[in-house]
Amino acid sequence: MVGVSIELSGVACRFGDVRALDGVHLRVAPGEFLVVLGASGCGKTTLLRVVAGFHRPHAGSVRIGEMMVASPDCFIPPEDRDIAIVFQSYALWPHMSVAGNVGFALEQRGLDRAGRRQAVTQALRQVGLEQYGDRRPAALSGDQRQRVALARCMARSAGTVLLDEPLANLDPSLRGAMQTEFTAMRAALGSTFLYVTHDQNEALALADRIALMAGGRILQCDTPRNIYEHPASAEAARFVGNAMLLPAIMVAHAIGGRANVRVGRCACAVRAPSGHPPGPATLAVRAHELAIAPVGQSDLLLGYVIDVRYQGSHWLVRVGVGDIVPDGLEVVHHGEPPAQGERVNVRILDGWVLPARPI
Amino acid sequence: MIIGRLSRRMPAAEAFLGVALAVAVAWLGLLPLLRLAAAAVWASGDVFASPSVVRALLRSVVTSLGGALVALALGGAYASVVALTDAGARRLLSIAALLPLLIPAQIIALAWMQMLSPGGPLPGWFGAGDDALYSGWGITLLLGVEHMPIVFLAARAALAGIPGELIEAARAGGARRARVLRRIVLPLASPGLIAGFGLTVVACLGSFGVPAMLGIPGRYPTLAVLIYQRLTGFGQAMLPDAAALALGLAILSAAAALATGWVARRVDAATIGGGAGGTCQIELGAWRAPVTLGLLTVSAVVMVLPLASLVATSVSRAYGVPLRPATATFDHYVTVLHTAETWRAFITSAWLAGAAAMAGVAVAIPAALLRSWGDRAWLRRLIGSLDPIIDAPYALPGIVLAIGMILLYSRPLPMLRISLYGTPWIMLLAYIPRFLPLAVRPVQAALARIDPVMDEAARAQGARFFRRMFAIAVPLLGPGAAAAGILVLLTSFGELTVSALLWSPGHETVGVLIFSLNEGGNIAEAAAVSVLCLMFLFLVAGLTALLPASAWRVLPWSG
Repeated sequence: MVGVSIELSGVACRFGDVRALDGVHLRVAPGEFLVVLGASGCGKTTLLRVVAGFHRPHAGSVRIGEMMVASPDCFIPPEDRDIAIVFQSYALWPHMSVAGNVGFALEQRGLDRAGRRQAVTQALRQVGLEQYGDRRPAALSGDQRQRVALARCMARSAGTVLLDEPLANLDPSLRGAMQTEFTAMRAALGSTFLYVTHDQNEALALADRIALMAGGRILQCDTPRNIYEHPASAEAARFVGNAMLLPAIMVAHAIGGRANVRVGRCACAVRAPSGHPPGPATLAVRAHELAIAPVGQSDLLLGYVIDVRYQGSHWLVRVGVGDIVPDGLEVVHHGEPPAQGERVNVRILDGWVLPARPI
Repeated sequence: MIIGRLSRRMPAAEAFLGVALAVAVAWLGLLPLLRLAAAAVWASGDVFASPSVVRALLRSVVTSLGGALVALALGGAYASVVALTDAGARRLLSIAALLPLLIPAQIIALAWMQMLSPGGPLPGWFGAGDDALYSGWGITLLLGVEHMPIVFLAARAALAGIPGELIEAARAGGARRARVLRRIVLPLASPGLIAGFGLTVVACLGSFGVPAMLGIPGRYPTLAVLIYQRLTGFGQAMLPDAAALALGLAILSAAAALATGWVARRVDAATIGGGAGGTCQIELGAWRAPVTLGLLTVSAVVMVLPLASLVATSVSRAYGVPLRPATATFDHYVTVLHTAETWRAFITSAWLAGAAAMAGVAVAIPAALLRSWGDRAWLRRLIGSLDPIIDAPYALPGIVLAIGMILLYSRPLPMLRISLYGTPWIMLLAYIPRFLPLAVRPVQAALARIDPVMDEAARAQGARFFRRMFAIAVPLLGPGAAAAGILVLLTSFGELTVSALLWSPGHETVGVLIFSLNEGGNIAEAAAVSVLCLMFLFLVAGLTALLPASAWRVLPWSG
């Protein structure tokens, strides 16, 4: 199956007074794995359901491949859209066997019994459940049900595969294995994947590109690396990787993607978008881009330890640095932590100057 | 405060209450059935060999299965439109499907008799003669109409409970409407549909109002009617034989109920996850208006036209005279309202129904509390084990309970030397177990909606069982318990099955009065009393609009 493109232009969707989607433009390339990432209530599930055809947008248009599926004057129902969906609840039909679930869509295609059985067996083999074809979904464990849902989706071999938080109901210990399963499924199918999640680790690990959503709009759509390292806005920086925002002064124009900035009395060299003018700027830093240093250095931030939390591989030290950041800075620290109340210096190892205007 | 202090001195108050409840429920509900079974042992074994009994038994089975099929068709049609489509006026359609719940069976029968009578709007099935109604066909049809709400409620709950994602998954798999209905919706709803059908068969087997009103003049007695005829015709001498016949009917009903449960469980594929139900909605498009109009027309023919004919008969000068403004008269109302018997019947029914409602709620609240919030495991098990005893007098044919009561109380009570037979008290003792499940189930549902933390918080403050019951549970359960009480009141006010055998001169109930006026040929007066009875029932049902919405959620027809 060759993946097809998905194109949304100006899609708006209202539920009563709530604008679930507020003018969304998005283009997913054929065969691309695009993850829509956002907090709950940001409109990401609505976006998926609009593409599937379970919601009709109030404005804008949706195109799947060459086919216009939703626009002010046409609407193609889900059953005619050549899509496959994995639901958060898996939505396995409890009155059918595993094989019945997987083969349901194939009956439609006029495939004969033997051809159907072969396709079902192949799909089940791909998820490692060949011998479970006769079981009922109720007799399976959580991750097995998830695999059946994937097999059902694969057997359909649709041009577009839609996944709605497929890992949300699984134990954390099983999620890693299932992520591998998605990668294998994508390699086997070659379809276009639209994957909705609120989990940034899933998004960073799986996506070709991430569309970051908030308030019914797309904040930024870019590769995982760019989203993480070069967030376009304060919201994007806060949501992905939990960045802290510090007021900074850019000393000069950025050269080669880096620039010298001052935060308080601390001078440092950080990543910066080219073209950002010198002067006031906002620096996004993450806890691992900061380091605790012994007191006595005049070119570092000075503060005191508010509290220290053990994280297993490291300590997370919260340092109060006066009015620069009211809540204090979170700093990753390896080795023996400083004591609570102790005065320390904080060094800025790296960071990212947020663009003056969205890039 | 006094109660609080009292219960502190009696740490076992809870256990005492639980045991007292169990004894009371067993005495009211179980004892009559056991007494009936004991009496049946002494009956001559060959009662079932008589050809008339075999015929009646077959008639019961045939009309019950047929009636359940009619109910399945009617209730199923309304439920699928209300639960699955975007048809207009769905709320009105729900009310139309539930209307028979509110109308006593003998009034439904009387109303249909008026619709098909020579002077009625649809005289004699469009000319086939109204004999057709006084037959197995007529009984089957009206049993179906009477029990349509049972199927409607079961089917609507089953259809609305299907997780929307299961439908969406099928549509994403390319399935169109017909295939989604056939492959997904119907199989998932079938346990509910089977349960609704089976419950209706059980209810029809015990039904008395419709078969008595139609089958006695039509010489088509079902088993329940035959038992009634033999008892009223031959008196106490027939008691052992009647007990044996009633026991046979009870066993048949119980077998039907057990078989239903077994089949429904067999086909039940418990859904796993799948989000909230009720998101399945079929867009009817151009069919929206025709579907709604079609079902409203069915309601008009099945319920509205008969009731209108009933009203027409009640204001007609003479039976069969076509109704015109010039011939309309309130004479029949004047007559019945000047008869002491009418007033007596309304008062008797009102206090019996009111007392049954209050007793039901008084049993239901502590039973639900001990069962759901109690911390004595044996007590929870004890109250839980009462379920079949609570359900039996309601689920089994009313005539079974009535004969059990006669057997128990026809002789003077030991030591007290007073006999309850021939007094209205025997009716009250029968009404309470007969309608107890209608109070117990909604109160249980209401309690299930209350977070047990409410009780635990009071307990942490040191409040004992009775104090918690009156200070926490009763106020929180209040609206739901009130709704349950009204349900009992509405259902028992027009009761006929039990009263028909237990009433005594001077203590007729409204149901008995209508039945005997009709039997005596006073059709217009029977119609007038029926209209008055319906006015009272609609008034009480209307008053419940004053209850908060939360109260309604516990009633069987909410949703």
